[in-house]
Amino acid sequence: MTEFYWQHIDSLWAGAATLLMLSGIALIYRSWRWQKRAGLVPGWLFLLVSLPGWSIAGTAWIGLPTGFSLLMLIALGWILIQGQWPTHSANSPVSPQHSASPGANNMSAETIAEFPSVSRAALKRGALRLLLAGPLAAGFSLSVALLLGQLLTDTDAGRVLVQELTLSLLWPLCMAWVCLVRALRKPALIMAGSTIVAVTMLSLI
Amino acid sequence: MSLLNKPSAGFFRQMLSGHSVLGLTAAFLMYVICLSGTFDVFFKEFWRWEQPTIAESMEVSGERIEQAVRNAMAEHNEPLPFIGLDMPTSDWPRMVISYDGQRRHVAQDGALIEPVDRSWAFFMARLHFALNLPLQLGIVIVGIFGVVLTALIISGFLAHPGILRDAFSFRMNRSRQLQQTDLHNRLSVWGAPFHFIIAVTGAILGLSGMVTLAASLFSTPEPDSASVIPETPATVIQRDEQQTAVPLPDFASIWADFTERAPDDQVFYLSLYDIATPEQRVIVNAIRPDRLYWSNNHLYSTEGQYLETTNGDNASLAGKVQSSLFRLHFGHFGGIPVKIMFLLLGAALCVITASGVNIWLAKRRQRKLPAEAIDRVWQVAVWGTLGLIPLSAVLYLILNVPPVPVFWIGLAVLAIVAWRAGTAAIWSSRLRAATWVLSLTVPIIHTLYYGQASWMGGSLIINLLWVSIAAGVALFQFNAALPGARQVARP
Repeated sequence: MTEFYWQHIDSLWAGAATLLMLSGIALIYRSWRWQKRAGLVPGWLFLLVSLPGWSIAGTAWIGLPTGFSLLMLIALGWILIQGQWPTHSANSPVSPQHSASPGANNMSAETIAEFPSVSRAALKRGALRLLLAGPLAAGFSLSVALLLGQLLTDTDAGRVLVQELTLSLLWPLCMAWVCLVRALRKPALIMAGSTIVAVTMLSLI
Repeated sequence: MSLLNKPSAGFFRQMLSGHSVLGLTAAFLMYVICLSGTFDVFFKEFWRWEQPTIAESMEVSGERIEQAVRNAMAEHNEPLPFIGLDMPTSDWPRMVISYDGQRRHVAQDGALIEPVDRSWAFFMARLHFALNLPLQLGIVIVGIFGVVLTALIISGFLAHPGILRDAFSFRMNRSRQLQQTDLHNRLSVWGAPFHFIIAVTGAILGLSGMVTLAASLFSTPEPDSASVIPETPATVIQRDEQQTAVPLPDFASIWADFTERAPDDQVFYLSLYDIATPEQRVIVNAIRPDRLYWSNNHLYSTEGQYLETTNGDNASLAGKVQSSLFRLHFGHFGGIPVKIMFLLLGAALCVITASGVNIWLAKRRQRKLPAEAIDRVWQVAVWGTLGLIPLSAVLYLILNVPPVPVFWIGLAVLAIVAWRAGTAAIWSSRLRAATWVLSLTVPIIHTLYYGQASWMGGSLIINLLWVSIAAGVALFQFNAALPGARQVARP
């Protein structure tokens, strides 16, 4: 009764889906390696189809995450196998040209000389970004999450899920936004304003 | 005032250094969470590894359960309000009884044998979900790191629009920076769905307490009738009298009914509430092997009659999704094959974290910013963390030394020394050597202590894991020493 897992996965479907994955990766690799676009779409299509295949093999609950994990590992394994590795030979392919870091010479003397002032600005901006991406984004996401939970669903489980998902997705999105934009005033104003509105609405509900 | 307006160059150097240390600390904590989480995929096997000589069996019967409960009640002498039983499952084929803060293994005949000792596995688990901090604080901090990881994944994709163009570039024979960039980007792109799911589920699991607390601030608490009525001495006497009056439930018929009712369900816990009182009840928690959520809670009355099944299949979709998060996060839904996949993908996440900082350090060097001391500390953070885990296991196995101080004090000492002395290459190389030697030492010592039991069941898996870590790190070490790879060596 208590032995379980793999006997519940249909080996035929699982095998077929895995073959599709391999074929898909092979096609995508081929089109990348030789710059042939022909295999790209079928390759991605194969990968897409392989996931429902795994879903059929072991239900959407178990088969789909298993298939996803397998797909990622197959792709990474493929990359490892076809990668360029250091050789045992003393005359290795590491030439000065090869070993030069990309962008190693991009830094002009002027840029380096400017660094102290850049650092000062960067420090201030960094501290501000930290405040916006941390406490402010957290407050904003939490208040919006609570408000959405209250407004969207009546059941406790639904409310909790909406709140948790909103917080866990909105906060990182805000974090990424704050880290990627140059001007910080806009995100700061939007987040602060929305937090005030959300907290006010929550107090009134 | 002029000092405030025009600070010295030294001030900025110091601030920049502090800023870097802050960033490095955040990266280090992220790495620790990822690394310990990778180990914790096998946390049940680690439990078994710590006590490998306990007999394992999947056999369960009503008689065994009843005898274990009777033995617990007899040992305790006083009335017990609750008894819980961890039931044998495919990754934990042992029965454990919990009562009044005690946890004991249950033999095949229902006798209570050795107490459960999972100190080292507990250290690893607490390291992952609370960084060994007090739980309420640690869980939230780890949850915030889940948010940070999600943000890094999102911003990583947005900041590198051409990341898919180089989908298969993996140039390990080029410059160190290119090597690290390829490693970081390939693992990030192809492992993104896994990393995203792990980060989001981790954030949800970590921050759920915060959400509940915040929600309670905006809601009116409903009066709890049970807590309003205080227990008087008279009611205590009455309860004790009742406790001797009501017999235990008929576990044999409960077990027979359950196996007939849900033959495919895997029971993982059995709870007995209000023992020997008229309110006593049994809850059998079971998971369906073809579902991710837990659990179907089968409720039985004091007479051993089936009453209802709650949660699990009967929960709302939101409830099902929410109760799936834990198993999804830890890869506990497909047996050993899925655990191995999660181990590899988790290891990839550790490599991404380490290589991300390596790229940042390389860029600092390009900009002629001081990087050597930070680089040394980072080598300690990466390889020292990986090395101190087996060291804590070795010291725990031989001398029963608590692993928490070994790990954290060891890391602090290493980081302080590295800040002052040596070169990054030397630290990296020596710590790698120490890591693979220590990782290989763990199964050797385990075998010396437990003999054949070290290479059976859960212990086999864990000792193979140690050997694999040793082999992986040694391979990396020797590969880094190759003439062609020498100049591109560090981690």
